[in-house]
Amino acid sequence: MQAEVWMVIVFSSGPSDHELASTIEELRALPETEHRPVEIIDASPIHTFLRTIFPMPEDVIVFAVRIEELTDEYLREFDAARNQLLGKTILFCTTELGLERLALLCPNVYSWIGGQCFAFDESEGVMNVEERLESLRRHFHLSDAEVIEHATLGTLPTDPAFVEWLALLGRGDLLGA
Amino acid sequence: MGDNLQDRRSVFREYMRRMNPKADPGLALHEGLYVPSPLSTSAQIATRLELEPASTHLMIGATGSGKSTELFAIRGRLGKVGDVTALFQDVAAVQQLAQLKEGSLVGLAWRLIWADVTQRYQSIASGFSDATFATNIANGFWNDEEWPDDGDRFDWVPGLITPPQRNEDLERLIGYLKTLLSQVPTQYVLLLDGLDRMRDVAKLTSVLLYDLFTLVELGVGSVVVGPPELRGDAYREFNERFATFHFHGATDPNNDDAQTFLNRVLELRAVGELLPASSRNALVGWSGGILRDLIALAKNAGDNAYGSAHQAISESDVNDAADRFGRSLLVGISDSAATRLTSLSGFGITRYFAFTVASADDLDLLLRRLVIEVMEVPPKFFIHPTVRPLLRGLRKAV
Repeated sequence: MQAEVWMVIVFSSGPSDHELASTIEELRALPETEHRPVEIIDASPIHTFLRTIFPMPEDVIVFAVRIEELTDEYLREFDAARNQLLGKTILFCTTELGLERLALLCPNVYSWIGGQCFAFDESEGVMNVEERLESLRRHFHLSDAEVIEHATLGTLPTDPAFVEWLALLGRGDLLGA
Repeated sequence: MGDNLQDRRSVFREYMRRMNPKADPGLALHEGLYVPSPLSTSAQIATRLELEPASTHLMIGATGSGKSTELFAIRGRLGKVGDVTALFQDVAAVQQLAQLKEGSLVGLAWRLIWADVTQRYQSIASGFSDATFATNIANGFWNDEEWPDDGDRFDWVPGLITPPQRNEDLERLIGYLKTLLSQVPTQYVLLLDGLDRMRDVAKLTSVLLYDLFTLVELGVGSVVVGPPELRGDAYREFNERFATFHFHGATDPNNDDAQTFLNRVLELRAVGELLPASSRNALVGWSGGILRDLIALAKNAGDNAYGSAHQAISESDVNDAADRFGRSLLVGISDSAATRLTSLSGFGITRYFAFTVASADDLDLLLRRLVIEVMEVPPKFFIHPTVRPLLRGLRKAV
C-alpha cells in the first residue's frame, strides 16, 4: 500500500473486531506496511473525526470505522475540509450504506478515493491452496523446494507473491530470514 | 532474479507515487509534472492579472478537472511578474464553510498578506503598530471582561427606521489593510480554493459580492474556485460581476489537442516502459477527459498489473481498472437518477447528447461525473466512458 492512499473497504454489517484484526493482519504481511503504525478511529461518537486524525503523523495507517453513523451535515463538513487530511493514509471501513453516503455527500473525498473500493470477503482467504501454489510455480518457474531454499539462504526477494507462497507452504517461519 | 524483482517493485512504487490523484498540485508543478491544459484557463487569467492585478476572476468546473492545479499555475506565472504577489489559500482548510460570513475573506486576506509582509518586508512589518489589533479582529481573541459594563441610564426605543448594521471590527480591519497595502511595493492577488465545496450557494454569493469587491477597492485581486451550481442561469448576473468567468471542466477526449494533453500528463508521470502507448491511449479514452479520473485509473491499472505480476501495464489491466472505476461512480445512485441516466444512453452510437439541467437528478449526474460536460459552444455532454458499459445492467435493475 502506498503512502497517503485513501480507500474504502465495505463490510456486510460494519467491521467486527475479528474482521478488522484480519484486515490489519493482511496489511502486516506486506513489507510496505508491516512496520507502519495503525490507529483504529471510531468516527462517529462525538464527531471529532477530523480533529482526531489531523495531528497524526503521515506514516500512520488510519482505519476509520462507523463513518456510516456520521450525520449528513458532518459528512459535508468533512468533504469541504478534506484538504486538512492531505498526506494521511485512511482506510474507510464501512457498510454499503456508508459507501453510498460517502459517494453522495462527499463527492470531493470520493474523487480522491478514485475507485479504490473493495468488499471484505472473509471467504476470499479460503482459496484452493494447491491451485494457487501451482499458479505461483508456473509464473516464477520455481519449485516449492527452490523457494524454501532461497528463503533459507536469505536470497528470496520480498515480493508479496513470495510472502504468500511461504505462508501457503506453512513456512512463515522463513519470512524475514 | 532477485534484483529484477526488487527493481520491479521499485519501479511500480515510483509509478504509484507519481500517479496519486490526491497529490498536492503545487508538488506536481514543482516536480515538473504539470502540463498546460488546452483550455488555457490559467494562461488567460494570469494574462489579465498581469495587466489588471486588482481584478476578480471566477472559475468553476467538475470535481477533479484540475482547478486547483490551474491556481498553482497562475501563481507560478505571476511569480515572474516583479510587482505582483499571488497568495494561495484553500479556504476550507482554515474556515468552516458553514460559518462563512461577510468579512471572512477580508480577514483571510489580512492573514495571508500580513504573513507575506512579515516574511519579505520586515522593515515595514516592524513599523506597523496596528498589526496585533488587525490580527485579533481576523482571528478572534480573548476579551478580558474585568470591568463590567455599567449600562446606559436610558433605554433605546427603536424608531420606524432601522439603519444598516455596521460591522465596526470589519471596518477597522479594512482600514488597517488599506494602510498596510499603501506601504508595500507589490500588489496582491489572492488565489482562493475550496469554495466549490460550499453548498449554501446563496450565502457564498453574498459573501463574495461584499468581500471580493471590498478587496478590489483596496487594490487586491482574486481568483476564486466556485461551486458548479454557479453555472446556472440564476447566477448569470452574479458571474458577470467578475472580470472573467471560466468553466474549467473536462477536455473532450475525442479532440486531438485533448488527447495530446492527456497522453502527455501520463507520459510525464509514467516510469520507464511501464505504461506503453496502447495502455496510455486506453486510459485517455476511459478518463472522459477528467484529469483526476485519468490519474486514478492509471494508478488502479498499476495496482492490477503489479498484483498480476505483469512487467508492464496492459490494456486488460486498464480495462479492469475502468470497470471497477465505473462501478464506483454508480454507487448510491438513486432510482430516478439511474432512470435518467439510462434514458440518456439510448442515443446509441452518438456519444454526445443535448442536456439541460432541469432537475436535482440532472445536477446530481453532473456533480458525480456520470454525465460529463465539455464547455464548447454549444456545450457537449456525454456519459462517463467507464459507466457506459455498465448501463445495460443498470437498465435491467431499474
